[in-house]
Amino acid sequence: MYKSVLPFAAVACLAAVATAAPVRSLDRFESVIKPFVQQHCLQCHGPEKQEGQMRLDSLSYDLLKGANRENWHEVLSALQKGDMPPEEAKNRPAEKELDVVVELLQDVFNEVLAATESTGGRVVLRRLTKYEYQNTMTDLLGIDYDFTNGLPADEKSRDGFRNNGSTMEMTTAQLLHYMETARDGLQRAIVTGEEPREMVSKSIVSSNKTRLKLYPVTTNALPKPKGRKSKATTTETTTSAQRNTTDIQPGEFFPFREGVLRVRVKVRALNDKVQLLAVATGKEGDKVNELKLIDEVEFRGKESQEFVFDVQMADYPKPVYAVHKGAKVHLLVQAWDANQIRFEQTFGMYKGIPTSRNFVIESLEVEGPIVEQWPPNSHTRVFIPSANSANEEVYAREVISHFMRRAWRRPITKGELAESLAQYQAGRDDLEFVPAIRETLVSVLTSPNFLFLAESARDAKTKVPLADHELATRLSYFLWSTMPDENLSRLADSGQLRDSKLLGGTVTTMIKDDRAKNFVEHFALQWLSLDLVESVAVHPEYYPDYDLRITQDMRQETLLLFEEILKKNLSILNFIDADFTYLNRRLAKHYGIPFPPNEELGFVRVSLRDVQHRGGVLTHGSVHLAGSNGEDSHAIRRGAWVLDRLLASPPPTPPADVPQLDSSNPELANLSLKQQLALHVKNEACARCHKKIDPFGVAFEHYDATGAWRGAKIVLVSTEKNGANVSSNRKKLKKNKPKPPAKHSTVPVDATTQLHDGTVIDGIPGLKTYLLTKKKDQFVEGFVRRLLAYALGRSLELGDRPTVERLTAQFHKDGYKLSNLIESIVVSDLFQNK
Amino acid sequence: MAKKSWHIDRRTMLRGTATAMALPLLEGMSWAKDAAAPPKRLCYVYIPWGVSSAWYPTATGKDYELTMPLEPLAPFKSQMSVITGLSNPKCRNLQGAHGSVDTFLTGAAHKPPEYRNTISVDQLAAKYIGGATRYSYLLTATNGGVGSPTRSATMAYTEKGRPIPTLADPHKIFDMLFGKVDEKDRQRMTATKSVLDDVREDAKSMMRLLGKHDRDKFDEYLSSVETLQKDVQRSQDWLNRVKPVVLKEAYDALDLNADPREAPESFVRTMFDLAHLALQTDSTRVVSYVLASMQEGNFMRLWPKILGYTDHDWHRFNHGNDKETRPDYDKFITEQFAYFLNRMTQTREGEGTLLDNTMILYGSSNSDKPHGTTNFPLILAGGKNLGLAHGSHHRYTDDIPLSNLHLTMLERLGVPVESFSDSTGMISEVVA
Repeated sequence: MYKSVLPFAAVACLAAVATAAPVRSLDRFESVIKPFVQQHCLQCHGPEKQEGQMRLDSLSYDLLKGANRENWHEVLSALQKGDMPPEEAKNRPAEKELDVVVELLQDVFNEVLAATESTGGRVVLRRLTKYEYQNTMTDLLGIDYDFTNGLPADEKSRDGFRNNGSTMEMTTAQLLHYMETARDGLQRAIVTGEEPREMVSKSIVSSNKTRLKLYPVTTNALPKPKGRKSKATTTETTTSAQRNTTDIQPGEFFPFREGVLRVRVKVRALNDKVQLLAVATGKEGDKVNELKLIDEVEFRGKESQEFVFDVQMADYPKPVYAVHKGAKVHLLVQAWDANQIRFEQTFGMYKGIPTSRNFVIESLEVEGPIVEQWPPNSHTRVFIPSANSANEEVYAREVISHFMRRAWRRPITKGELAESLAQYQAGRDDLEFVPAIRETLVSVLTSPNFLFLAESARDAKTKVPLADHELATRLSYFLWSTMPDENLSRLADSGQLRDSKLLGGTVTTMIKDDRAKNFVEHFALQWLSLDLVESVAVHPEYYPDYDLRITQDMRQETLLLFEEILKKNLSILNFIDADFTYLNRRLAKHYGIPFPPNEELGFVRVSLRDVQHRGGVLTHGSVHLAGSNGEDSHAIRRGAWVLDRLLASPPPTPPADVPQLDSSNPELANLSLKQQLALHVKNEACARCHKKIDPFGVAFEHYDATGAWRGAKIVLVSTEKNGANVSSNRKKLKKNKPKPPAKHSTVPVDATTQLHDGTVIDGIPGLKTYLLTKKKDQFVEGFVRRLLAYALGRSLELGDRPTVERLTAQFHKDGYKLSNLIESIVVSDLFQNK
Repeated sequence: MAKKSWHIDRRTMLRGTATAMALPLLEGMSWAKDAAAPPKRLCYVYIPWGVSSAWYPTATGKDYELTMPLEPLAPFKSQMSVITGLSNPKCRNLQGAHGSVDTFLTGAAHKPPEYRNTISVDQLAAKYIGGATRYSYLLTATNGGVGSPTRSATMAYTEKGRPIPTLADPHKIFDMLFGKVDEKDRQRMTATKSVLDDVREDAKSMMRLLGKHDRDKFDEYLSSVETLQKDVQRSQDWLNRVKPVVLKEAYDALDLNADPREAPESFVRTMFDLAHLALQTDSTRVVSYVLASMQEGNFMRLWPKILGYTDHDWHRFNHGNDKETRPDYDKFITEQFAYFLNRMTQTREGEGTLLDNTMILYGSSNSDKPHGTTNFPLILAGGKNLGLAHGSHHRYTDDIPLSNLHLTMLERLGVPVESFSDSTGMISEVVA
């Protein structure tokens, strides 16, 4: 069955080391190290002081059984790096003595590794992550639905991944969510009753307007607003563009609440500029705009063009919030001059009403509910076509076993099927056929066999190869973040997946597949910690013109760079420095890069050969924003990011009792960053780590919080007086009062910095060169470690080192090509065995 | 208003449930029958984006004067303490202010990249005092769910530091507390029970195939199933016990249709009404309400604008735009809290009022400074019968953790713990 020789060879080889090299160095471990530690370490890491929370006198010297193996490994790393004993130590050992100790420790650890390989390093049982659950439910049920609404975000492991079995939690609220979502999803996927005969609603409007609002039909569920007619004509604002508004009166459109409403819009531009067409549902009123954007498209050209938008009626505001005080629920179709508006989440949708109009909406057609086929595909995925469909008992068996096989990603045992059928039978006594089946399937989707990536028989003393379907599942969640498709399952059925000759081809096919986008998104975001942009609020006083869509654009830039490196199988050194990137018009403007005039729609690949300040992730706005506090760059966070995410050497978390620099202190605000950081390093408790972290962050100083380039940074001067002159009466704000101008001062930016090892660099170009020359190996190995951790869904351990070293060596030979590394990981012993 | 199916008068209820175990509840009757003393309750109210500097009283001790934004609380001055200066020292990272709903009740060092949280004080309390009532706790918010780390929509976290979702729909909350139990509820419960039984069998079979390490991990799933089974059992038991009936006047005063997007005041008062009713009827003894989460783009941000205090949203308002009207808005928020306290004092219970038997902690984990993470504005109200002493303004230094107050309240409830989160002691000044 199992034909790949590599993993077995590796295990055998290590086993040989373990037996052929009896505990030679290990025997000398305590006798050599103990006196060394007593003489050089205990002063700071002993009973009296525990610098860095490290205490060495109480560590066990039994490395095979003792609990302190990881601690000793830390000792080794510190000695290796030359960090310890510190330079200023009084009786620092001679380099020669250090070399002897380090060498001995290395030997000791090699022996320990060999001895532990057979027991450690198992992939921990893990459940589906939030996004894997979403993708899997979507593939399984074939409906477009948010299955994770209300599900908490997954915890991140220390190395930054959300698919790590050890850090994942399960709570009753979560379990309840899975159960209720399964029922809800199945109810949506399965139809009962007759095919709807015809479209309920279909209308065409000719308009030549720039903005159309469609009101839903008034039903009993929607309380009738008072005085809508008069409001509708009086609440429109009076800018020239909006004067061309048409309200289509209620009672005409889409009297249905579920399903899809299809909106076809014909538009044309009146000049050559790019226009933006958007469709949203929600409500607008004098005070409240709460619109949900369905989609927006950019267009240009004087020729008439048609765009189609599908609106899920479930997204429409619920009747309970229907109509109050002049705000009207509607479907909004609007076009703008794309250069004149920006997105502002808080106040509805777009800000900056265009002053001129250069486009018309020629016509609008709505129809729905859209039924593509009957019964829908989602229904026949569950209730499969069968010759036995008239025989209830036989058909139930077919339906349930078919669904279980897909949901559990493996063949089902007789016992498992019998249990499910028994549940179905019990339910059938009280329920109709379809609901009885549905309830059984709810159990299937709440079962650990669905929610967990289970790999059986884990008690074996030695690692054993994964079963075929377990391998298919690992592969699928690694590269697609979803369940194996039919093709992959078939390969597993026939045992071909284990064929090492075919495996490479399978991986290549999977990377080419559209679902590899999931890998790009989830690995890239987690590897680079870009999800942090979601928790940064860009401060409107510092960045009044910031368009919130730029946050998504910047994220997209990073993902597209990653995608190209993956799909074209380029070297991962392109992450550090690349001569191309992907931009759309908005992001190019934000970066101050001229945009190719003839390709203005969407993202395009842009050569950076003649562009300064951009290229590689160090210049990506996504990274800068994640490393900011929304007001200014956050040099420490950015510096820590370089160490943690790029060099896979995370700085320790600051001790809880170290006070932070008080950012609200106005004196601090007027100091240059370097002066601020100098304060930081004066404090000894901070200095130990920050002299390694901060210099990296300084190199980013030319990029502001939002990733835009700057020569000087702006400091707002506060003029607040504490609570003075406050009127005791509630007074309403007078509209249109003149606002006091915000006071600014500027501080010049200086991005030259001396790194901990003494290298002086100037800004990001200097940092790139430094990383590509002095830290290339560390970056490359770090990447291997991180990708391997993601592939396995667990943190790496000591025992994984030989595999990491082997993979890294191969990666060097392969010219750091990303797809090659993925293939090497897939055929590695760690990935193939459990 | 049309009569709702679950709104039945007492006579009907008596007839319909002649064999039921309990009589419909009238004000305060729930506990009176089987307990000598009124139950001890706990309530937390969170307000986002801090307050203006004008909120903070200047003098401390008994003789402090209520500031303009606190004026609505004048009738309750002797039943509450203003507490300033406390904070969560472990959560002072730079995003800590707007990302601090998460840690208001936990005090955890909630930091990127992992954002690990720990158990919240309300959940710890619910473990001890949640067993006797229909619901162990009631978690509400203006927009419900869990939100996302640093933008939480809930203050409640499990022992493992996982968020517990909040409820936001007044109809749903009312239905949960007082709605009629019908055949559908029973069917749903039966279906849930059946799924859980089935799934538990799957889990047990799976357990047999796992190695030791996995078994420890998988135990979380199994215990979740078993906890849910117990919950279902508990719910089924309670299904057979009649829910309390809300008196007509109380029901008529409720505006369950209040739209938080356009009528913030009505909505907030409705949520306070529901909290009051839940506590009054002893449906639960632990209640929390998040007035607004600090998620970007949520509609609560617009409240100050809708209400005419500013042209800006709440967040910018907090950043010093329209400084002169900010204290007025603080006062508006305080008025809502005063409304709640008023309802709590108007309900007689034993020798005193419902407020006397309920400790309410109201406040924010933002200060008067934009993104300020020290000097939380806090009010501790009620709990006279639990031994709280009131009438003063207490000011503490930045190094005293809020957890000390949490611990003090736990101790008043009789929860046998010696410390909570990063607590270093008690806040003895609020204890009689």
